[in-house]
Amino acid sequence: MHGERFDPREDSERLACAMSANAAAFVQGELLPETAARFARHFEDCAHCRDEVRGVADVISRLAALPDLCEDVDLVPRVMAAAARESAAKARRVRLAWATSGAVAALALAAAALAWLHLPGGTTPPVEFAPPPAALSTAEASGAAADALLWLARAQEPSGAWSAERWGGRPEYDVALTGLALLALLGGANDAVPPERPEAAAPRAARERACAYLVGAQGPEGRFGPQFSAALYNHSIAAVALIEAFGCSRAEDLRGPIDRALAYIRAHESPAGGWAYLGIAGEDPNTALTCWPLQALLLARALGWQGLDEAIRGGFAHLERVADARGRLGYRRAGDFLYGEGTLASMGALCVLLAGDASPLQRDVRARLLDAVMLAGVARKDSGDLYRDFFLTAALEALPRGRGVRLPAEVACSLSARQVRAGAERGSWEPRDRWGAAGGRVYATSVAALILGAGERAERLSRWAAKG
Amino acid sequence: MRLFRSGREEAFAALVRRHQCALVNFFRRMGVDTDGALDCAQETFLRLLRYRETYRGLVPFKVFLLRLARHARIDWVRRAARRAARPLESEDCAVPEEAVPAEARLDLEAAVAALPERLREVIVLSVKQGLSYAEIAAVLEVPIGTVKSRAFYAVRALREVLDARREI
Repeated sequence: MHGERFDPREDSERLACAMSANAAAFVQGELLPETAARFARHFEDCAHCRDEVRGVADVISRLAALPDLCEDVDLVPRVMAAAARESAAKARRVRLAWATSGAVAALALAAAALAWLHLPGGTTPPVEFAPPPAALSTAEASGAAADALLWLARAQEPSGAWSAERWGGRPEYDVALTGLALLALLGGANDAVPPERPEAAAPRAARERACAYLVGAQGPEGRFGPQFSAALYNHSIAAVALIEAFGCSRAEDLRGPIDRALAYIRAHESPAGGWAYLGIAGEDPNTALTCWPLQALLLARALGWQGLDEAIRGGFAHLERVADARGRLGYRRAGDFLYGEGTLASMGALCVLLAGDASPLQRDVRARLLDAVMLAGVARKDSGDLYRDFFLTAALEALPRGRGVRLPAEVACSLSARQVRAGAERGSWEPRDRWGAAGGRVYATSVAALILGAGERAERLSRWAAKG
Repeated sequence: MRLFRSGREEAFAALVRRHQCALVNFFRRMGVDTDGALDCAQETFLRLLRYRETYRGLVPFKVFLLRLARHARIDWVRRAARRAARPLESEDCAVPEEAVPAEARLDLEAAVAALPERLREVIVLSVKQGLSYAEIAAVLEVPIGTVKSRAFYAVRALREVLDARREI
């Protein structure tokens, strides 16, 4: 049989050029960069190696195209049953070991046997898994949310906007930050601030001023905020916030601005589906941006707006294009994780959950995506990336009840521990994550408040989705 | 694997859902019949439960899983050989050449099935499971140079089959 050491010289009779032994590794991208470059230069002049590379590429592509031998399988029931049987057998062995130990252990044996006999499920205990973490409900977290809303109310400009520049962000994002702040005020404002506090009415007044500012920031073409490449962030976040404000208040004067905002979103969708930065020739849609207008469309449809289905299908077509076999969503294409995987998967999962049963995403893509987010939720710690945690928490809270993943109390406590506790900025968060330079303190505080109020917001959105 | 340490049943079920098809396909490509592939996949997940505390995150999770899968398959081959009451000459469970019909031998599927096991597992792990040579080396517990040489010989063997078909 073939030798294990790789020495093509031993095979020289069959290799017209010893360098051709690199062909497979070259085609599969497994050569070191300098070796690959050297080989690429070599086969420009070597017909044998050129032929070898073509042949290897042909074989590899044919192999890759071979269909799976088994596509549809569900091993979960039998694996879980086998795991339970194995656990029970292990328990029996442990009991037997105790039973055959000496008289010195007799007392302990009796106690252990009694304990096992009283396990739930009799003599066949289930696999020993820990219970799901408790849902967030701590006085500390509630106090943190109330302080955050009151800081936002204090930081609001007389115009109703929040100034990005004043709080360490970039001025072109005033509209998006006002949208985020409005979402935070909507998310936890219901009873978040105890009525006995003198400033209890401040969040409600701030909400009304924010709505008025956003309506005033809409141009004749329907766009909220200035025209620039990232204008769709401003526009879509503002649209989501106003749609949620409408859902909470049913204020009819918001209908017109929302109609125009939705028309703008539809008009700027890419032909193949999804949304891209504006005004850049050849710019492909990206997932981070796409999920915001898609949320706006889904929320509006749930609240009764018509004629949005085609644009929604386009958004999901983008998500399907960028999904990989592990349920991860790429940024512009599958496997392209510009800022890591967690945020994009959570954003996509939130859209899928908002769409409910009407999601046009293929069943297996949907299942893998939700599994990926749920696994991230189980393993989650306070990541320090507020934007990622906001979407992960929103998706986890929107998961159907019974999947057993909620915001762990320790994450909320960790978040509240980083909150400013005294002074003029009491209730806010320092903008320390990767998006802090763009959004500043208003971004950090809004998103942290949204994480703390995620449960209440998820219940509201699921009520709308159910009615829609 | 952190989720295992937190001991969550739902998380384990999700892991099974995520990797079950890849595992079953791995076993099928490695010459195990459908029922055997399901048994091997189940055994792999049970081993994952048993050995979850040994995973330290030093290699990607899929490498750890496929290493368990490879050993589960080796044990399955040994048991199958005992059941067939014949001595096991090697761990190679490649389809014997004479068992492949002549017309099928010209097919790429059959060509893969007929590769010696050491070459086939490299090509299956690389092309069908998407592992890098370094990851394959970790699964097989061999040097990376060995993976490179096996990939070279595997592709060459497959090319010879395809070239022969063109000449017919």
